[in-house]
Amino acid sequence: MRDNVILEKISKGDEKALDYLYQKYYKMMTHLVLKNNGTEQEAKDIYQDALIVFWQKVISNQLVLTSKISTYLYSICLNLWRKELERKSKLSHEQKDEALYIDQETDERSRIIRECIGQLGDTCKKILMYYYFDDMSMQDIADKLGMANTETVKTKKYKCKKRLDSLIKAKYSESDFLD
Amino acid sequence: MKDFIYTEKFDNYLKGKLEPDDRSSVEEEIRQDPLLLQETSLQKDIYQVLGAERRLLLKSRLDKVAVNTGSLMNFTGAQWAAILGSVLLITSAGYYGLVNFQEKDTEIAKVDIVSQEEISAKSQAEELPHVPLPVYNEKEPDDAGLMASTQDKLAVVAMPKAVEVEGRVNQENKAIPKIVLPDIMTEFEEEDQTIDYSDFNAPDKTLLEKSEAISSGLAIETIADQRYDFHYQMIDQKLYLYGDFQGIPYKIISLNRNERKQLFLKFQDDFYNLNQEQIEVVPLDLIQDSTIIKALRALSH
Repeated sequence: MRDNVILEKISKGDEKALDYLYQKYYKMMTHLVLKNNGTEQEAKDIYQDALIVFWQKVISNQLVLTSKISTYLYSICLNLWRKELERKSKLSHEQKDEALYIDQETDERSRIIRECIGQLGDTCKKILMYYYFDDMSMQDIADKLGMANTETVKTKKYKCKKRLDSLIKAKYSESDFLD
Repeated sequence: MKDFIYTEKFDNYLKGKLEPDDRSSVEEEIRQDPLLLQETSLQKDIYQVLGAERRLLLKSRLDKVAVNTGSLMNFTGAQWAAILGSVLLITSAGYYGLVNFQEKDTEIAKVDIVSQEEISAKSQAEELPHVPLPVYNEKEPDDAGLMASTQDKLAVVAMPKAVEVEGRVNQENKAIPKIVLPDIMTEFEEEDQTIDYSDFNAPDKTLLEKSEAISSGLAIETIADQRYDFHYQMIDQKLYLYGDFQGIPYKIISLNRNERKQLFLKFQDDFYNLNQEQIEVVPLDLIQDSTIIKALRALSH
């Protein structure tokens, strides 16, 4: 598959194109981490993260590619792995304790939100994720989910978001949760 | 406040897509309204968790994609089936081949016994059947023919056992198989001996299996960048050479080593390794291994 075909498919939200890219460059990209003191798991994580960054940029039309996809992916992997190595080296014991305290509080809040997202229907989850994370246009969401038009998507998205907010707020009183 | 968080403007604020002026005005609005401030904090968390959930979904999807890591554990079911099939096929072929070979050997052995009986009936004096000896040229070899004579003997000794037994079976009725050997040249023309190989060192077999000196269709660009003196990088099968080469010719040599093509740069009698996956600009790496240098010299001339 040629690069321009892949880009076109991804911009329409075709996840099979992502699978194809993942398979095609797996060895090349993970090799970069493996030869720089990374484990197999770290290499896989970095490559997957890089692909998701790429996916997000293409799908939200934020990317004007001037090189081959492989070159671009390689540079993302390189940057992500450098950041990871920096993060590892900077993480002293004191910082770890502090991070643990903050994480516990944030984790609890995240857990509740995750739980409420899980209570939404499949279509609601998809609409919210495609809209907020993938930054897909209403038209692309309509095409992907087989909806009649953009107005249908807009209404559905509004309802789904309101439902999610009310589910989260129902778990806690506003003062408990937001303070 | 409640309606504002469901507007497109607020969504764009969460996504970081607002223009600086719009962003400032939204932030000012948030600062002035404590309830909106709390709500924004919650909405930012929801936005983060939605993103994290989507990432997880994509990652779990990618985890299911079969990838080639070079490990046996990563073969798919179909690949395993193909391997198993091949093994069975080879094993079966080997088994039938062995059975056929043993059957043939048994047949010959049976005939051999019969012939021995016949022989013993015909000649009581002989305890053992005659084994046909290879027929050599009775003529004494001269010095020049010594090599040829030795090779004749070796060729007969190296004959398959089956032929030898067959010869024994048929010794009375059939003619001994005639072995035709090629003429061996024992003298060389004067011209052939004039080539001087003294300066040539044959490269190690494992090092150089099949080599070629080529320009390999590799696109090359030299860049006079003061930051990088004698550096290089490879992007999309294109070699970028950094530094002042002063117009002196250089050469790219491709060497097939351990079934892998390696590229080298020859410049002013020195050789440098070129890693084809080197995307970043790095200094040229001088080759110091004398074996590789010899091989590269042989190729570059």
